[in-house]
Amino acid sequence: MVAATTKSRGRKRGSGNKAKSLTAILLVLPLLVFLLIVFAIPLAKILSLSVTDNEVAEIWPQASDQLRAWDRTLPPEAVFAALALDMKKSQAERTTALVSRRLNYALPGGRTLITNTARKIAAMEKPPAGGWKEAFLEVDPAWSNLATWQALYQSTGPVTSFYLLAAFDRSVDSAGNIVHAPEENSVYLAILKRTFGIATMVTLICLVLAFPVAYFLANGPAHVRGIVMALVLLPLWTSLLVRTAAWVVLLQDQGVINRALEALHLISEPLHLIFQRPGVIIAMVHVSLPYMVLPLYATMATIKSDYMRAGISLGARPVTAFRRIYLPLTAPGIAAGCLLVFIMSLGYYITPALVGGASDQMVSYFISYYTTEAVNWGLAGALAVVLLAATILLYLVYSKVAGVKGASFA
Amino acid sequence: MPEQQGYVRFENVSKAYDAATFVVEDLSLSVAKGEFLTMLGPSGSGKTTSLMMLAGFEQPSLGEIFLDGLPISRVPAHRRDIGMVFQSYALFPHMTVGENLAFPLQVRKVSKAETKRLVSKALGTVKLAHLIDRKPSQLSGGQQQRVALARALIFEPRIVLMDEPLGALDKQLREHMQHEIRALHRRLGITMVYVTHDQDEALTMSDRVAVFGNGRIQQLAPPEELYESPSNAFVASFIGENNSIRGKVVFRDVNLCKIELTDATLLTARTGDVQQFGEDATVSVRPERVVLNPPMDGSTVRLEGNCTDLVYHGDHIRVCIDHKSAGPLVAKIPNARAYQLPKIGDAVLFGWAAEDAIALKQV
Repeated sequence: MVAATTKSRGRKRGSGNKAKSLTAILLVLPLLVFLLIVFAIPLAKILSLSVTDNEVAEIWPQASDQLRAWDRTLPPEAVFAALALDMKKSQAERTTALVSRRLNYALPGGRTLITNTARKIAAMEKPPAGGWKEAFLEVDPAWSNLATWQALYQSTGPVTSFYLLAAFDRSVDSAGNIVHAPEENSVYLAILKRTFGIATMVTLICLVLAFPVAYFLANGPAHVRGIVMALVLLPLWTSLLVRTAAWVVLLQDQGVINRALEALHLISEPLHLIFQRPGVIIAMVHVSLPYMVLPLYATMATIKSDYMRAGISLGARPVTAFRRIYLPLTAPGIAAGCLLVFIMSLGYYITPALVGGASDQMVSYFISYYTTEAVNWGLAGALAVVLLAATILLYLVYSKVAGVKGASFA
Repeated sequence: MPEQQGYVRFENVSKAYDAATFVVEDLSLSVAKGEFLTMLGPSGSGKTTSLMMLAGFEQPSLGEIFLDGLPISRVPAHRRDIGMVFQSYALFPHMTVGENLAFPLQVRKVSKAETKRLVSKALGTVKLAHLIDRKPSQLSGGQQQRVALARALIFEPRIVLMDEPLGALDKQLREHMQHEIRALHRRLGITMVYVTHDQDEALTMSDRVAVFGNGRIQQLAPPEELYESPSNAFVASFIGENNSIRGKVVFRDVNLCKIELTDATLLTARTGDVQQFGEDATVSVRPERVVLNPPMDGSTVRLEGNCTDLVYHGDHIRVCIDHKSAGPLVAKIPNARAYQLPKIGDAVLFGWAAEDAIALKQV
């Protein structure tokens, strides 16, 4: 009897839970759908662009079909013949440029090679006496290079590692080995290194600046706290673009900062801040600071003053008590704040673009460049993959270290 | 038990956060070595501030505190060698029980082997040796309390301060811990200063109790004296239950005085802090001293009133009586068969021995 009652009560509670979780799903459904449409699907599309490669296969279908079975030696006459037919067709359809652009990514001088060859081959009415192979080599000896064929082979798709490898300055040579990319194409490792370097620097400076502020917010006199909190939050209520533009004004050689320093006779020559690394870091730190202060404050606000007092009463000097008791207790806040600022810094675009020089641009700038100017979606996608992977990896490390399940920034 | 008088001494100590109000005002207090002294008072009475000044977390605005004959106002808290147990226990959540106990020894540069020995000895004392590797969050409230106590004692401090250490425990556990702390104090003979707002705790545990009110010590006395002879109306109403009857002083000498109620009834009582003829006074009588049908003799006060309520408490019965000028009164009648209890609405004769009442200045 008792068991039966318990059972039925249990069932009732179970169905209650079901109803509750159904309500929860319904409540978040609009957001989920929104995120799916405007975030998840475009993201998946961009990411998939980093491994898809079907332009060449679509425009030059016959040569691509033949090349898929390439044995890494100079191809036979049949391949040249197929290529000649494809070129005639692409010249007629005015699509050769797309192929030449794609091959130019992998092959220095690829654009000229393809454009020239296609133009000359298409002009030949019928197969030349010596065969297509000879004709190609006559137009440009580069057609006897295995590297040329490797580039063509690699672009026949439909799936490619070309862009992801390129994001790490790697490419596949004609023998099929992964090697360091030619010097003129090796910029991405340096850009990634620069991106992570700037993000690390910004994170560390933010931590050093935010820690005392957060401590004051958590422990300072109540009437001043409100004002300081408002000052911390103020940047968040101002447009990022406006703030960055303000830094452009402030950091100029004849800007407020240099003028002030000169007036104080601290410097005789203006400091070159704008379009230089220091300017980028100053502006990025300013933008990111609230995201460091807030998690730190949230953690510190929960640390009772009794802990420090207990440490001191037990005989620890205030510095020791701070180091051995207070600091470890703020670790979750430090981890959350650093993670937040670091991940945000990795993706900075506007600030370096406006305040920085050519050598201060970060990965996002190049993603933007490849999508809007160079129309190299594959490389843009590959750089985005690297950025996303780094972010996910960092989060996994964080959740492991902080011992939290799921997202927690408090 | 108390060996050395004035081991801890507050001399005219005042503490003010602004010019207008003193949190603690002109406090002078002496604690003997080995004594268990409790600072008792309502919140805001200055007891915790006094404790914090002794611990070194607050500075006196005026006056000086002496420990073992030396002034300590300029000694930083970490060099005072004073153990402290906090209401929140303040066990370090990122350290295990063992690490918490080792902390005061590590900062004193005690050797590793000695630290290990002392930690296991201290945990043995509070019967928690098996929990050495647990984090504080994995302990029950009572266990945390014992760890906090062990941590405050492990470095053999000169005195141990406790700030409402049992406030977070439930009633049963609190009584058990009171007993344990008392036993520990007896065994170690260490000087303890204990802050609480719980008068039962103060009465059962202390050698002496300092009752704080409005930033001042209202009375400093052993528990019996505090209860039997409160020095003023604040102490009388704060410690234990109390019947207060308002009237005017019509006669006063050193031992006895007579108080006249509004209907000209005269009550004889011991002389408390009432000073002069005609003064407004309160006669204070403990409910357990009120008897029904008191004997007819010269030293007993006899009054007549109406029984308004009877409340059964098991070991005693509370009889609520309304008297036309003394107002509502409560009598605690022991639950014994011999007693003939009145019914609600009955007229009752009640009274008390004159020396069980004390006349205090009205506040």
